[in-house]
Amino acid sequence: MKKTKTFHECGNHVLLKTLRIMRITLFLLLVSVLQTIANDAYSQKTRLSLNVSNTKLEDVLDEIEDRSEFYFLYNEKLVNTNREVSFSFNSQRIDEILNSLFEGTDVVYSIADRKIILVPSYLSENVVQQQSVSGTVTDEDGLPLPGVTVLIKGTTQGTITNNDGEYQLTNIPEDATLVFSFVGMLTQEVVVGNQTTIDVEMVVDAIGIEEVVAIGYGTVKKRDLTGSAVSADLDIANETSNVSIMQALQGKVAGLNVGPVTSAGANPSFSVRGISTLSTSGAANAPLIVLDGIIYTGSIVDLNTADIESIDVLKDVSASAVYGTQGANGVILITTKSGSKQFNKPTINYSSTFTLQNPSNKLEPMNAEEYEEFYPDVFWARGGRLAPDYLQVNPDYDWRNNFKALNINEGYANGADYPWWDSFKSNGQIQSHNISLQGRNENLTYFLSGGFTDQDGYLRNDDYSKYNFRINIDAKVTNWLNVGTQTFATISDYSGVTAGNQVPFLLQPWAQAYNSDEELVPQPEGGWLSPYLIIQQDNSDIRTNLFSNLFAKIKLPLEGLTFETKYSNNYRRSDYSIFNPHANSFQGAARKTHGIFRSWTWDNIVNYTKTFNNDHNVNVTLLYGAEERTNSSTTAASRNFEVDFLGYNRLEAGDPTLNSVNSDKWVSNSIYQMARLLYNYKYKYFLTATIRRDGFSGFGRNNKIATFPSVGLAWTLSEETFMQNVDIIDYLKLKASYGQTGRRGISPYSTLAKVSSGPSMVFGDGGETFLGQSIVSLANDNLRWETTTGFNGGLDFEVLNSRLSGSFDYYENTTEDILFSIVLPRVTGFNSIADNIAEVSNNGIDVSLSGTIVKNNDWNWTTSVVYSRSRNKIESIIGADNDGDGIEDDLVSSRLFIGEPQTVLYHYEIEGMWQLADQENGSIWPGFLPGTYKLKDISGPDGEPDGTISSLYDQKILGYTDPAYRVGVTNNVSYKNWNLYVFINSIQGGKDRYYGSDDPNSYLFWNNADQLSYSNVPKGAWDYWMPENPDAKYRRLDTGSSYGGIRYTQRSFIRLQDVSLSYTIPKSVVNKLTLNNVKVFVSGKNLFTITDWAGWDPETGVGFTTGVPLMRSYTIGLNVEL
Amino acid sequence: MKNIKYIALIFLMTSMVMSCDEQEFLNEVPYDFYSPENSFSTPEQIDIAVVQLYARTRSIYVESSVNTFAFHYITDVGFDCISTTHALASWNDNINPNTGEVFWAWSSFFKIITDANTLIDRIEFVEYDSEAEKNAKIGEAMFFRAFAYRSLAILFGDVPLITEEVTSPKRDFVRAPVADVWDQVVEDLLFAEANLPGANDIAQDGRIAKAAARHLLAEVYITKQEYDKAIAAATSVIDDPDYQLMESRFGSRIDEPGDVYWDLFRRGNVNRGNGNTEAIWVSQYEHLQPGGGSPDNLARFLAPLYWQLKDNDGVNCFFSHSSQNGGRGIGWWRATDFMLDEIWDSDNDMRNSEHNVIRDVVIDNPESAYYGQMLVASGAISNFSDPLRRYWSAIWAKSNPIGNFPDDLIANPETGQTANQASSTFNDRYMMRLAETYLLRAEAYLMKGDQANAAKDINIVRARVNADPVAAGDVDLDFLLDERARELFTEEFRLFTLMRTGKLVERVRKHHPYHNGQHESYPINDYNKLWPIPDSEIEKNTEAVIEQNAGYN
Repeated sequence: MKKTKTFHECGNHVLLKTLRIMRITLFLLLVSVLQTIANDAYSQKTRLSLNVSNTKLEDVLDEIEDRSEFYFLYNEKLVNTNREVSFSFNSQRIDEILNSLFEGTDVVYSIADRKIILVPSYLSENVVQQQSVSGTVTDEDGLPLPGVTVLIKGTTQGTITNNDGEYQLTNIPEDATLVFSFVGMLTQEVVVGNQTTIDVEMVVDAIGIEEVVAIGYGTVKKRDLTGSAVSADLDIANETSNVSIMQALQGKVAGLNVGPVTSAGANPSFSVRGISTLSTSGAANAPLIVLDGIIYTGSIVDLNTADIESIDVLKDVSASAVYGTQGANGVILITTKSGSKQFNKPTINYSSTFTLQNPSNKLEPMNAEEYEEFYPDVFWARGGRLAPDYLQVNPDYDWRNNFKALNINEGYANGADYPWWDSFKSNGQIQSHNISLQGRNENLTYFLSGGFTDQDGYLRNDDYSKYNFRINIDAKVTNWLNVGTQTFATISDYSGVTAGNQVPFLLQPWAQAYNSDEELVPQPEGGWLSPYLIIQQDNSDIRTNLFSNLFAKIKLPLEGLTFETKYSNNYRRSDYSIFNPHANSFQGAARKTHGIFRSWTWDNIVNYTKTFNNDHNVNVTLLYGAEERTNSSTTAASRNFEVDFLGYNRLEAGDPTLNSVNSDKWVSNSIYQMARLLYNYKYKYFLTATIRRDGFSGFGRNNKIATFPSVGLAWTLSEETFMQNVDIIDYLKLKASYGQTGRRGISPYSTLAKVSSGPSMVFGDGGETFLGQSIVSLANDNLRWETTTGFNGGLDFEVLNSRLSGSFDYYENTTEDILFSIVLPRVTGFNSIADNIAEVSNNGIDVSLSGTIVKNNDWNWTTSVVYSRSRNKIESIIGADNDGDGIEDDLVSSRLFIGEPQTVLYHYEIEGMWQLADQENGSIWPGFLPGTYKLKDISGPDGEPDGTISSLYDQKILGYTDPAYRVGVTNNVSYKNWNLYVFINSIQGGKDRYYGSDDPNSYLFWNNADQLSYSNVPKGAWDYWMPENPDAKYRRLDTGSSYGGIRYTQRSFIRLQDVSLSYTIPKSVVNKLTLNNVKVFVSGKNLFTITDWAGWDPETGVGFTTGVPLMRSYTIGLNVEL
Repeated sequence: MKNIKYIALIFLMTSMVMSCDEQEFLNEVPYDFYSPENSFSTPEQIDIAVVQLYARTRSIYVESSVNTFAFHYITDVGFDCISTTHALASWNDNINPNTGEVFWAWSSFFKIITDANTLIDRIEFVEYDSEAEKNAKIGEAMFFRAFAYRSLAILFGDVPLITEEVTSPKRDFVRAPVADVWDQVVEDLLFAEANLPGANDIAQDGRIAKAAARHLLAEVYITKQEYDKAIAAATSVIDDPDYQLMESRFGSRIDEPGDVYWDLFRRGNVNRGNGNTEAIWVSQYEHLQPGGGSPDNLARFLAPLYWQLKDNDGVNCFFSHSSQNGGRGIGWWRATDFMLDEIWDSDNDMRNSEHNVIRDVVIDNPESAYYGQMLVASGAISNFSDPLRRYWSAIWAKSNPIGNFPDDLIANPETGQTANQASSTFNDRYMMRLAETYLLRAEAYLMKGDQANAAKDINIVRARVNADPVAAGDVDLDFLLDERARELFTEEFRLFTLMRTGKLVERVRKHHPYHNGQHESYPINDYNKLWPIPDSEIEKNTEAVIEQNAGYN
């Protein structure tokens, strides 16, 4: 790894090839450089014995590297290492050895800790110069940067900066340009002109070649990847109103689908690529979360967004295969921050944001005047209108007879117009404060942080607050041992009961909140509890999450061999208490629930990294680990309080005969091994091979252990000599991978038959309670994991001097043995049984493009686009072919169709409306009424339309609910200290996808006359059938036909999702305040949406029902570093 | 030496992980639930499973509101009075293979059968002190299996016949001829009859005794047209000295105005333990006790929406819903005019007394000009638009704890105002009553052609309620069905009675107001004599074909 190679003329890559640094991460590279500065003692102390004869100098240098921690940096063209030498040393210092080796040559050396730089003496400062330039090269933090190559452009002439980052060049042509390059930093060119001092500040290459990607149980350089793993851009994650870090990833990574959030302290739903199982539920498709190397099953919102350093997403099967039975939904690797980049200079960072929110869209219920206009329409057919044409209002019909409660009569008579909805919603707000301390010295890196977030949601009482604390430490105990921890605690408070979005919306404006005595009316509409009483419930919902990962890393005596052991514990508590004084006919009910989740994970990792014969780079990882998860909870409840002012803290105050207790517990165990080989030849040809063996206690007793192999190949074409002349291409890599991974799909104990038991009978009057029991599920000893086999092919490229870069991935996954709940005839007494039976395939493409549009001293404008599409297809369900046509039968009862995605909308096709005339002339079909949907008669028992509607013959696939494609466009424009970030997100349905229902009739409370007689409705927009509105979009209000029919609408949208403008106060100003860095910003979220969706929001999918909006946020913030 | 230290460390660490036995580590131990292996091994556990059969039956008969009421309101005696398009208003349009009530009935009765099968199969391996004890438990389970199959056979005709525990995911059911189903029912009931205890030997009040099996046998034998066996079965109950019709006033509210028929349905009067010798099988309810069950919503659905009535001045007639007026009814369904008025053939009939069918009440809203007057008689609601008489028809005291709601449902003890939940019977429910046994024997005599004996049995029932005796020559099946309605309205599932006697279509056409032209003229088809098989069941049964009933394809 640490061998120097020939310079060649390929632009940016010159030094990449030259400096073969043994560490694989930029981060660690910096560590080693900084350690250089710190410690010169090594070269003084270390003594070597060496005995060679007629050996190439190159081999001698190798030998020294092998036997010590020294490594050499030199340019083969400038330093002749082919000459043979002979000598013998006995326990001598390195400078003595080097003096001997280079005696009489023009080579001079300099030692910087363990690093030895060899240069010809004509490049060294000793030589007399005619015209010279000198200067200091520093990093972004102003610290000297040793080892930077400084070349005169177009020549091989140059030098390397010394320990103090200083350089000096002589014999410089008049029109010379200097090229400064360093691993992981942007190469800079400076025209010399008549300058004699040129100081350069090197900038970290943000989209750097040496970007490191976590791959599970290790990291690799992005360029060494064979599969599809992507690092997410978290640059402005803390500048917008993201309470959960996942919100910051929305639309940012091709193939990572993140949903919206509409309540306080909630996590968005998220998934990677397609639906690899036969369930569209969020939980079934949730990717595995790995936090600092440990599988994490807690809530992501418990992680402080400000603590997160990086997020990597493993998308393809070969990459996620290292997680075995938990990899099929993709893997999200979250790494928290560790020590600062600066050495011996601790930094304190304080950041704060304040966000105001208002609805991005609203449906408002009607006021009394509007509602009175609407209400009689519900009863047109029940005497409200006069037959036969029903256009005349029946003067004898009193629609007020439909009121459900006397209060409504009263309220109407009194002219009540109560603003129920407005009373139980408000604009939201979020504030957060974070403070952290970061530092690094010779033997210790550390990161300590504390944070506070407080959120008030849209609905009154939808409140959330959390406190975050974190300690990350990595201590170097000896040369061979590092120990450390990543530990955090989060305490979050979800207390408070909202009145929900239904009751306050649906309450009629005539319903009165207070009676004439100014007392709250308990049931304003006769049935529902007053929202004022609902929110009076005393509720405490405190969740505690403690996570601690302890690790030790041991360097073994065989060079390149390390052993790491990690023992991690996660302890989560949920303490939920509620007292409802109004339950049980206002006699009160209370309960306390304590839930405890505890898991431990023990991972043991052996890693061997070595380069053989200069060209064969090998990295082997072996893993052996085990995990246990335990969950238990206890609930105590009581009812009918005589004296209730102590609420849930004195449950015994309830009627003792009505107390109830519940407890439960489950345990699951996993045990696993994994082996991985990473190999490449000359960084041109890459191979990754992994195998994972995974045991899980939840599988059926005949199938406890699964094995998953995978292999990946990559070829960096741009490294080939035949590509060297293609100037336009800077980098090009082709990759392909194939492998298997799994999904557990079954929760603990679901393979065992269960008997349910509980109080069932009281025989006789005043008798005791008898238990009853029956078997409620069938056992299945063979139930096991689902296996996803996948191919991923793609290419990564950089062109036009790396100003345009991107990647393209195509994947094809097939999941077999999918757990499918086979519905059983109820004749069996059971609803269903799960079996590993179904097969689903997915294919899709992920595209990412990133371009620098403008780049000069003041301006920098980059644009990136991510695009993804995924197509899902059911290959097989239960394998039944009863109709004997050679094709598997669809499972219509479960809405599953062979060859179709599982997101089908299978229903009757609405052709129009039945009209009053149809009834008069008798042409209306049985089961239908005027004003109900006229459904298409598609077929019948004889395969032809039969003039009647049947659920067996007349339903068809109307469309699909999944999107056609997703696009995200990010623009980042910076001018001097200003930075503007604009992110546009879009999900599109194309021709027949991304359908949802915004049909008000499908909402329970607006479904029929009885419900509508006591439910308010949204103002405007509801185009329902009436005798005078025969061409309405939606059916008559009071009833549908017995077959129903639902209108579907596409949810496609384009959204201006994030805008952030930040200003970094100039150093000259902040330094006077003895600060390091100060940034202020304003940002907005969900600012503007273009869509045809009639409901609350297309992305949340909440249609024309009661609901809550997606919030539009405005944030101001501050970030101070000292 | 240095190397040895490292190697030892690695060895130690890995061996600690390796040392755990993989299979042992992955073995699953349940902590909070029972498994079939350990739950059917003792007599106590078997009885817990038997208790579940009672609970399942109760959930069909009492706890399923809208579903259960379909067995009443689509017949000659009841109809949905919310609107002519509401719920199962029309036999032709609403009773189809996708009707929820149809699937509910199918799956609920089959669940009783599969639970019973499991228990009958597993009891074999349980040790009992005596064979008799064991057979009594088998008999109890077989009674429920027979009861469920009898219900399915009446509703659907041919049905799949399974008599063993289902342990694998079967999807290849076919319908057995209904005759085979009846044979199985008889076989189970005969075993039950032989092994169940007598009325006074049951372990707890509410448990099945011999007489229940005999009563059901009588009905089943009529269906099988084995009338002599039916007569014998019924006779064995009627002649059992432990069972007598209640002839005089009794029970908790004996001092209040009323009559013996009224007493029969008061809270706390229904079980044998309350001195009621007429009860053969009673579904149990215990207010607010775990396992006590959900209360019967009959009071809510059948009682009118009276408390929203407005007088001719537009003022509410009632200050609220109240205990004395029957709680918070919603008038979801009501008795047909046939049941309410036409059916009564004897002026003295106690079953139609002012205590039992309350046809007028006092207006109690002081703000109404009609305050203190009778609602109907005063004409106070003559202008109120109520074509289906949802708001006012009559309150049936036998299905309403009128004036006697549990204390926790009284919102205001002074006025009697009730909480919104005051809308159930909060009472035990007759599943079988001796009066019906007489009517079953009468039916068997009648079908056999013995009108004289039929009339004799009917007159025993009529005599108790002071109704004039019927002449033998006037007894026919329609009269018998009328008598059953008079005696058993809301107790019997009228739909079952009409279906099993083959009179459903005829009597719906005649008496159901949406099918006889009173409000609508919906058709009911001859094929509606049976319910359809749920389409979803046909779909899920992928490995064989369950044929649909004729007419429903």
